[in-house]
Amino acid sequence: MFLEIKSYPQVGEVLYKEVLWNGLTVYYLPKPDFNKTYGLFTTNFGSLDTTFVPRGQTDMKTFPEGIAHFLEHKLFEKEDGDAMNFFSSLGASSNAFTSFTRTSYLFSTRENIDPNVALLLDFVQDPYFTQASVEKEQGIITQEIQMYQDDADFRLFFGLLQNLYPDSALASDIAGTPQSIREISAEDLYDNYRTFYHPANMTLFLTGPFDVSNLSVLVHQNQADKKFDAISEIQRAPFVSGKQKQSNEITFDVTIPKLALGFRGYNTLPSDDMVRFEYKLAIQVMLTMTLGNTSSQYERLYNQGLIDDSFGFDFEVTPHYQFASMTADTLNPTKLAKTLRETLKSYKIGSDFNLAQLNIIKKEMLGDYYKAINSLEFIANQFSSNLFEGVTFFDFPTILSDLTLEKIEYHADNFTAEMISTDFIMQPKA
Amino acid sequence: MKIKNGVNLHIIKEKKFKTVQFLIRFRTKMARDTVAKRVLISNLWETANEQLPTSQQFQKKLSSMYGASFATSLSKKGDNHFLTIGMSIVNPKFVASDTITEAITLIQQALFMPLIDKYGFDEAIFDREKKNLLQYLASTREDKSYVASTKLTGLFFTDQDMATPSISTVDLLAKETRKSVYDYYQKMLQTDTIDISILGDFTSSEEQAIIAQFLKFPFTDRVPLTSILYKQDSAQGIQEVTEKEAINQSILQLGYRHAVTFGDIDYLTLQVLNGILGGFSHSKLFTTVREKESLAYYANSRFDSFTGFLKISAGIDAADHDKALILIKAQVAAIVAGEISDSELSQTKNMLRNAYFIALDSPTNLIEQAYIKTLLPDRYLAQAEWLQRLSDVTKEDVVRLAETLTLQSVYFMEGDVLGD
Repeated sequence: MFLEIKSYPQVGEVLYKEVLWNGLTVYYLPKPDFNKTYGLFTTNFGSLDTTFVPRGQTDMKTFPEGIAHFLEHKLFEKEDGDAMNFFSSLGASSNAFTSFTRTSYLFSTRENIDPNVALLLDFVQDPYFTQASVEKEQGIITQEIQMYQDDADFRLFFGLLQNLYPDSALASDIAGTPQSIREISAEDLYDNYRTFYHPANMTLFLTGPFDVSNLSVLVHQNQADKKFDAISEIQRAPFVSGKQKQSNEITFDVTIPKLALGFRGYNTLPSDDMVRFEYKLAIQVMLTMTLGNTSSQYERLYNQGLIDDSFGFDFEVTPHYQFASMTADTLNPTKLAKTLRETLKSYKIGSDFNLAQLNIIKKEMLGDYYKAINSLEFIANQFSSNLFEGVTFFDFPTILSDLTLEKIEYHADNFTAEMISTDFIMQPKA
Repeated sequence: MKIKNGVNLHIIKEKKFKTVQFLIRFRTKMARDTVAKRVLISNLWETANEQLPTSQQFQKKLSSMYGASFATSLSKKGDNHFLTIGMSIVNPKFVASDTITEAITLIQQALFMPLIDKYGFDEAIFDREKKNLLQYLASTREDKSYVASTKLTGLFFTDQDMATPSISTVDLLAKETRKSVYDYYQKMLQTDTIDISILGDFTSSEEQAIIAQFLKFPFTDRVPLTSILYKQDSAQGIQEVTEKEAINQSILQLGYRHAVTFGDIDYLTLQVLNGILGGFSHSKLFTTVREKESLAYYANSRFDSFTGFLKISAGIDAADHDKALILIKAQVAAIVAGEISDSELSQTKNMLRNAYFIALDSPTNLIEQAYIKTLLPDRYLAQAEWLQRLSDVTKEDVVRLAETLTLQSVYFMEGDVLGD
């Protein structure tokens, strides 16, 4: 066994990692004081991956929107029953979720750790799709889609994405539409499954009060008993999107207007993983210094009644796209959008871009980090996003502490120099 | 330990978390005319005080304490209304800073040094927070699932105090002034039953310092509130309401009365009954309404053992209302008819046992358990007894309890039909 051991004394954690013969990456994080063992099995396959060359074929093929999420639902169904049921027979709860770029399957348990780990691997690695069961699932997923369609904040966020990245998979609901999921066939699911559920495209993260070497033996044996295709590069169509659209607004069943303001980054991302991690963090810190609830601008806007507690912002970076977003319930969305645009463009001359504010924000983010790592689920999720190879989530305190005003300015200038903004507003129905 | 009559301090030492958690609970009887006042107080606590007179200063203080969180919340348990301050800080050992003392100081400032003048709470802040809260309460109608639950609760409870939402309503809040709320605040400080809980990994000297600091809070003796459990008599007939909304998914909710109170001999039977009915993915509601009939994405049940209320919810298409309602009622009937397989029973027990242990990894739950133990010492079940009683539940027990479920209210939020 070639378990790589990495110790993080600053956070009091020891992490084990190995890559199996079939390409599967496995992490083990022992947590001896905990009752719970949590397992997360993730494939780098999400709602954005609708056009690719299916394994064993030669041409690009486009599949209906929502297929990754549909596959996630259907993988639980087995010839002899439902995998969720098998987990609960072993005393475990299980679930799954799909994002733009990933699909994850999980269980949490106190009992039967070994059988539950084996079950997680087995049910994900043994697909069983039939046309009849595909049709049955359409009703369930249609209700899931409809539930989110009634959620104003969900609609607001996707309205913004449609303006930022029109005609792209990013602009569509991860679950697809009631129409698109009706086009999905069992054969489509197999094409997607064979392409993306290869172990080399997947990560298993296990954390809990277990013995690492015993569990590693189990994982090795489990995989040795199965056959997999040779490891080969997945050919995905490049992420394409139209130019960002003009700002627009719709009416919706809301009480006060909602604003979503987005800034799409057109600059080239740093290719080095460590630098890209620093880039992402630098812009998050800059936004928090400038617009967070400790900033003078936040206080001004709050006192003017332009924002309330609902105000929030975020910065998303993946290899394919990057954007900053700000959302608020506000009585004057046009004025707020204008003010926020100016604030971001001139972040450097604002009164909060200074060392004192940076130090406060660093303390806050470090504290938030320690709070977040109370949660096994949170740690597992962070490790399973392979966005920054070579940099792990436990390196965060060091990278944060090394951040200077100069570094932040360097990264933030790269972003703000080429960003283009658009907004999406929801007005109450008359 | 007792700080004063009706004011208790609970210190829970636990090594496995990287944070220290504080929970300060104020409770009194649920009353329609005080809920809104308490909601405003909760907001003012977390906005500013005499020492930190603007929200920016307040937030900077929290950030400089390594991102301490200070959040207030409102909830109902039984017939009591809880107003709670929750603080979470990084354990001092990770950041080499006395975050515990600072946190207790901040709590003291929030409670005893509000920003006031001779007319009541500071006018500018009060008006602004009241306006924000009114906006927030008005916007809760956008959360359809919250609306449906509130409507069902309103139908279920005949007592107006019990039917009032824990975060109050626009009408109740609109009446309050900075004076009315401040007058009430002074009364509340003297009469509410208060429990302060702290959980974390601290040394004995840190523990002594915590106690010493809380002992200095200027609390006075008060009569502790001892009753919390609420039971409503079975009503005649079923309250049914359907309301139309322009939404994609319709929401169907059913309110049943059950006869079990927390800690009763049947308490674990109720847990098992709910688990079989709609508590888990192997439950009757999930496997029938969702998996077999594809009518819903969610179909579940939950119960409250402090009020005798059991709720079933499902999100469906409007066209499927009749079918879904029949199916849901049929699942309850199936349990009454004894249609419970051995695996349903054992799986449910496994899941409940697993959930019990996993909850021991949650700081919030550990505080809650310790609290319930002091609140209802005669009804609290220690681990061994809880597990034994769970294992003793039989199919016959479940059937017998299911027979006593009585449907009291049905609320249907009727949306559009897909494709129309």
